[in-house]
Amino acid sequence: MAKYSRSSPYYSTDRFGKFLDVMTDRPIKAKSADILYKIDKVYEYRPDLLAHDLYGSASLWWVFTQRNPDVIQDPIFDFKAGRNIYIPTKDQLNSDLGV
Amino acid sequence: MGLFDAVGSQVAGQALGDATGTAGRLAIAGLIPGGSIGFKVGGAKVNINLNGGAPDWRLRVSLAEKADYFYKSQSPADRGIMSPLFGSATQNGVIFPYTPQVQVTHTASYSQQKFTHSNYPGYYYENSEVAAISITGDFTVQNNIEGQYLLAAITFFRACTKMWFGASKSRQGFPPPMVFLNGYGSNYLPNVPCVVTSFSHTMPNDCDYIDVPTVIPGSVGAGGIGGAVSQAVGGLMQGGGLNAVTGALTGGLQSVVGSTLGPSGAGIASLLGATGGGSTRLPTNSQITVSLQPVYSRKAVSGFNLDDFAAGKMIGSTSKGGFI
Repeated sequence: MAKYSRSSPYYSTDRFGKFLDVMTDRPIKAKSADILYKIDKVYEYRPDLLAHDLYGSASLWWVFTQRNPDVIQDPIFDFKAGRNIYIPTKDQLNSDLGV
Repeated sequence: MGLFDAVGSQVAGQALGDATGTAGRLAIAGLIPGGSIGFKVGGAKVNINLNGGAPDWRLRVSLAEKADYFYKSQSPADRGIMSPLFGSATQNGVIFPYTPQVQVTHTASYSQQKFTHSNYPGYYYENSEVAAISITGDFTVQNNIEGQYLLAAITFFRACTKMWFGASKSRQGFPPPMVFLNGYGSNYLPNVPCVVTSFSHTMPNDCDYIDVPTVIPGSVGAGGIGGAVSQAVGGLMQGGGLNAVTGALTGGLQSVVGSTLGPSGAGIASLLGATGGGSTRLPTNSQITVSLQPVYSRKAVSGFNLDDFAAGKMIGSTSKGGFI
C-alpha cells in the first residue's frame, strides 16, 4: 500500500494491509509566533483555500484543526467566519510536519 | 501518495482553479503568505503610500492652497467621502499611486496666406497655447483604504466638473473650482493652474470587485489618511470584514463598532469617527483619465516674460505663476 505523504493528516496513522488504524493526530505545537486570526468570509468553510494561499499547498487544509482543537472539531464546517484561530507559520509546519 | 491524499488533491485542485486570486484574498483577510513572524494580525499592505519622501515628485491634482471646500472643508463632516484626500500641504489632493501617462502638448498657431502666383504660402503668427493635459493612471484596490481613496478620487474629479448650483450655499453660481497640477519635481509641472475639462473612470469587466464600506469621517488627524493607514487597516480587516462594517454603519454605529470590529476596531472608530453608511463595489484594477486645461489669469499673463520663461525663471515654484 502506498505511503501517505508528509503533508497528509494520515501520515502518522498506522496501517494494516489495506486498512488504516484509528487516526493518530499530528499535533502542531503552539508557538509565540503563531498568529491569531479571525476567519474572514472569503475563507469560510475553505481551510484548503487558506492553506493554499498561506502555504502554497491545499493539502495542508487540516493543519488549522490540529492547531486549534478547542475551536475546530469539524475541519470544514467549524471553519466559520468570525471564529478566532491560531495560524501556524510555515516554518513551524516545516519543523513539526517536515513539509 | 495514499488514496485519501489523491482524492483530496484532486478535489482541491478542481476547487482552486487558478491561483490568481491568492493575493487579493490574503489582502482582504489581512494576511501574508507563509504566516511569518513579521506578520501583523489583521494587517494588509497598502499600495497607496501617501507619506512620500520630500521632495515628492509624484503627480498630484489638488485644490488651491487656501481653498475651504471639498476635501479642504473646515469641518471633517463636510469633507465626507473625500476625506482620504485631506493631508499635509504638499500631499493633499489626488496622488496617482502608479506612474500615470501624461501628455502635454504645446502649440503655436499660424494662419496661412496663399499668394497669387507664388510657390510658397505665407504664415502669420496668431497665438500659442498649451493644450489640455491628458493624464491616464491606474488605480488598484486591494483593501478598504485603497478603495476609499479611489472613491474619494472619483468623487473629487466628478465634483471638479460641476458648478455650484441650485441649493449650493454661499458659492451659488460659482464655476467649477480650479485645480493645481504638481509632479515630477519643481521644473516640469510646477503648480500649474488648471480646470478639469473631462474625467472618465473605466469600470472593467475582467477583474474582481471589492465591497468597500463608506466611512464618513468625523475627524481625521492632521497627517491625513497617510497617518491613518496603518492603524485603520488593522482595525477594519480584523473586525470581521465588510459585513461587520456594513452592519455597523447601518445599525447604530457606536455600539456595534465597539463590539463587532474587535479590539482594533475601536482604533478606527475613534480615528475616523464613522457616521455614514453604505458600501460601494469597486474594481480591483481600474483606470482614471482626466483632462486638465491650464488656465492663467489675466493678471498672471500680464507678468509673463518670455526671456525669463526661456531661462527657466518662470517655472520652479508656485510664486512664479506655474507657466509651462
